[in-house]
Amino acid sequence: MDPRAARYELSDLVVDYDPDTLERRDVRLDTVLANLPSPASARRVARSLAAGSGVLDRARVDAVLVRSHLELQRLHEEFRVGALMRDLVAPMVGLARQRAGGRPIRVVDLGCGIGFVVRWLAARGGLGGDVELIGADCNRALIAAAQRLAAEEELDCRFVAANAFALREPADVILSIGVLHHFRGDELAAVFTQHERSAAAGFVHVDIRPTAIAPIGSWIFHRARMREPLARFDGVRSVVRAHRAETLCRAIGAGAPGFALGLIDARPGVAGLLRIFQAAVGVRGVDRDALAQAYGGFGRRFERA
Amino acid sequence: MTVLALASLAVFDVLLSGTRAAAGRDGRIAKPPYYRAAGWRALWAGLVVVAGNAALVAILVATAVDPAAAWAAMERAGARCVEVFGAFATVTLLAILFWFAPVRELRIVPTLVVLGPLTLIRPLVVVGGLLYAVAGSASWRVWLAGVAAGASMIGIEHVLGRRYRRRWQRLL
Repeated sequence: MDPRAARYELSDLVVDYDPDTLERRDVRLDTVLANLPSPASARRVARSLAAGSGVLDRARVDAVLVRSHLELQRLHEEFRVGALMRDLVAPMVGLARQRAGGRPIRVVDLGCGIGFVVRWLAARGGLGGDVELIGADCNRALIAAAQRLAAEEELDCRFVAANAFALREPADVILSIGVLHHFRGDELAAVFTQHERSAAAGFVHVDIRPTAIAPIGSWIFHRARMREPLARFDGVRSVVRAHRAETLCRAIGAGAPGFALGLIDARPGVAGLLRIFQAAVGVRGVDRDALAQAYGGFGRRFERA
Repeated sequence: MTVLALASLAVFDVLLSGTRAAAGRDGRIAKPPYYRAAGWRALWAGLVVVAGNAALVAILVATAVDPAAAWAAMERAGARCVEVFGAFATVTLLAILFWFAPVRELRIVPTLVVLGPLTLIRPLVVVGGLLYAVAGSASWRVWLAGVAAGASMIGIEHVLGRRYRRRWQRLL
């Protein structure tokens, strides 16, 4: 196992949920510090979140997470993630429509945070009037923030504090950005096992593409732009933890063998300087040719996997 | 000419600082009015910064034993500032032009160049440029003007950011 994989991000450590009920559990500072031997700056952040009892203060944690997600949204805006997601999700919605029989298509953002992608898609459109947009996240504070922001702009989307795979009305298309690298080893395959068990017709998962220069690029950006120490630390570490395309393919093959799989921007060459993300797209119920055809607009950026 | 160039560079820098100070603190999708307001605020702040520094220079020159020589020393230092900050601003402006590129992907260039590396090195450029400017002068008046200019340029983003610092609280 890659030793880097064992390294945590702060946001992985400062919150904990019951996997069945999603009820929040207390997190002890010493547990965080035990999993975070270095650097000192990250340990300082963890200490700043602790109450006198040695348990992390949930209100402080939520405040830091909301501020960090606002900064992350800015980064996504600057890298034009909204338009990228629209371009990636629209073909998948088209494929899902083929087997939906005229009913609305439900697109669910897994680990949506403050819901930037869902709100961007609701605000800017491009997926069709028959698409229902839902953001799902375990953190109730982030979901509340997403709902407030959506309400402020009267956007046609909603947010739920729930497991994206266990919604009362299941997803047709599951999407995510910057989420997959939080799952390591068997956990990654387990995420795709949940896809396999769900009723979803397809998925679009986007994450940073790991390259030799990505960590230094990420360090520059997070150092220059991020104000929250947690966001600075997690931003750089998330690039280090990003999965290679081969790792993603193996996990998807093991967990969700029923899906035809494609990759976008996994090997962009020099254009990778401008394209820092890669995407894994999967669909079931149609053959691989249909997937390739749906993503034909991406040209050579798309490859079958 | 040097005075006008320096004033323009300072206002441009404060304008970008003000925009940066506002960025990442508002979660809405449609933000042009928010950024326009931040831009106007920064423009006024830029004019105040320029006026403040100009007033300081005026006082330093007026109170010198030989005002003409003091002004000449200030002008020499200012000209060196224009060399450094002018070059930095030119690179910044050239990169910003990519925001208007017809190919969408190229519009990321300003993000990659300006918002990342150039933002990171900006404090070093400010300090380095001012050191280069005042290094040739033995006058404490020139050095004091340089320190005041550096403090105002580096500190302005922090000052402008105070307005936006607590916006996140509306979301909890």
